[in-house]
Amino acid sequence: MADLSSDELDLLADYTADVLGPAEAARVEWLLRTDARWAAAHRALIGADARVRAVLAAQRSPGMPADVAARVDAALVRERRGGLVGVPGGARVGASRGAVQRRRRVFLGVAAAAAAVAAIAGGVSVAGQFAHSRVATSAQDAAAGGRGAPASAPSPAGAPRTLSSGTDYDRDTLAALARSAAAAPDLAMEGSKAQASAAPAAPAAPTPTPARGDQGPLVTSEALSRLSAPAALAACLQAIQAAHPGTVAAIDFAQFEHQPALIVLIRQGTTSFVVAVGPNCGIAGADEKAYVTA
Amino acid sequence: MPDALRGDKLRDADDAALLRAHVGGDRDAFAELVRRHRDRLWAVALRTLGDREDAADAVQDALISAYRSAARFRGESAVTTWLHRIVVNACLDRARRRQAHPTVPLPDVESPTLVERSGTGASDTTDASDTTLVVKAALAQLPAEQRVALVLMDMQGYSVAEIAAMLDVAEGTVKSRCARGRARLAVLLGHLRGGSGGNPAPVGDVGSIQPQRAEGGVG
Repeated sequence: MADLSSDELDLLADYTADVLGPAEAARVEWLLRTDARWAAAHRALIGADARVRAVLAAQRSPGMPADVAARVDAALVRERRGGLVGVPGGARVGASRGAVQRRRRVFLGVAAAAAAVAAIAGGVSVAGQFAHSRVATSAQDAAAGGRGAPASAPSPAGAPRTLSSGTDYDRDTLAALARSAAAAPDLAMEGSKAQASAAPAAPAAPTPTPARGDQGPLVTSEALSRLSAPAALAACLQAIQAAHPGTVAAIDFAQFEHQPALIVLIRQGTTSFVVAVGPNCGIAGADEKAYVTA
Repeated sequence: MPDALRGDKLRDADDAALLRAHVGGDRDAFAELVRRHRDRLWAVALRTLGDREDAADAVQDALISAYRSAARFRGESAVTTWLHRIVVNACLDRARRRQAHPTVPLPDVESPTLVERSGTGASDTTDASDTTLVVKAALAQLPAEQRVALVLMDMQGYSVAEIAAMLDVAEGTVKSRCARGRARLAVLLGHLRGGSGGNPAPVGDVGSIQPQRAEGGVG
């Protein structure tokens, strides 16, 4: 008896499920009438389909094991307390195995996200806070890049404030950022002054901050590492400004809805808005993921 | 901020009320929601990913995501549908990032089918374990989208409409994925001899299908 290929089997399966369009269904019906192997396969498939359903339905449903339940409960408790998952030194307590293996992901909870919003919009230095709480960058990255722990770079006068918070933004927090920025002093002009004046309120960075001119901003995601190069970052910001004219006031190497993203705060006159762009920003356009106004 | 739900009120509140309470700041509401649904969510994750640790990671990440995004839930679907959607997406993301390799070798075409192995002299426990392992290995061979559709329909008992909402696809797509997945499983489990992958294989006629034994002894 001639063979039925896997594509033919898929077609026959779709026919039995009654999901084919009229023309395809008519073709299969003609095959069933005229081709003995198709007719036999159809009969066999109907019986096999019922048996497979029964076998699957008979599988005992596993309850969540106690240790997994405890782990999930602990993670939710940490989330409720601020979501800062991590301890100094980079070990992530109770972290999912995948997140530990992907050391460049940092999930900062609501409190830390608010701190990032305050930092990027209000000029508060959080270099020290993020140096201790950031667990994204692996020791290997730090060694390879010669970069220290701080997650923010000093901003020369007039230059945009740069953070590498790793914060997982969403549309709500981007909107909060835009609103906060609208009420904050003009960062582009006073970024360095704001940093200096805010210094007493923040712990000092434990290691020297790398000069932006040669090493670029410290990033927490390998996907965004291309944008740490000044030329690439400049091309990205140009692409953003081509679509959204204004002055770049601050940037944050972070995440948007769980994906690596550069968060860019732009001032346009008296208004502010925030753009989230992906790792390909500046290559062929801005790779824009979100645009949120105040 | 609404009054927090306490004690019996927490347990008596429906899912939507719990989620509203959580968004309103109730410290225990989300945990109660998780307690109600975690077994089914776990079953979906474990059966979709086939690996205990991967499933634990996926469920944990998914529930954290749900915790954070609860304020965006608008009630267009049931809360359980919404939770399942988040867990399924987390599982599919993981499955797509890695290739699913069977942890147990599949039975070859010539070996006894699952139906034949039921009703032998072996203990029910041994048969059940063997079946579970073989089914797990066979499921691992399916494309992730077909696997999750079958897990939700044939193993968890959800309707086509519910699954379509969870997966955010058309109902016809759900039916197609299930039908194609069962056809492939039928070949892998020896209920049907047919094509798999790109290699055509004989599709036997009715006479070549092994006689059906009592299904109750299989599971």
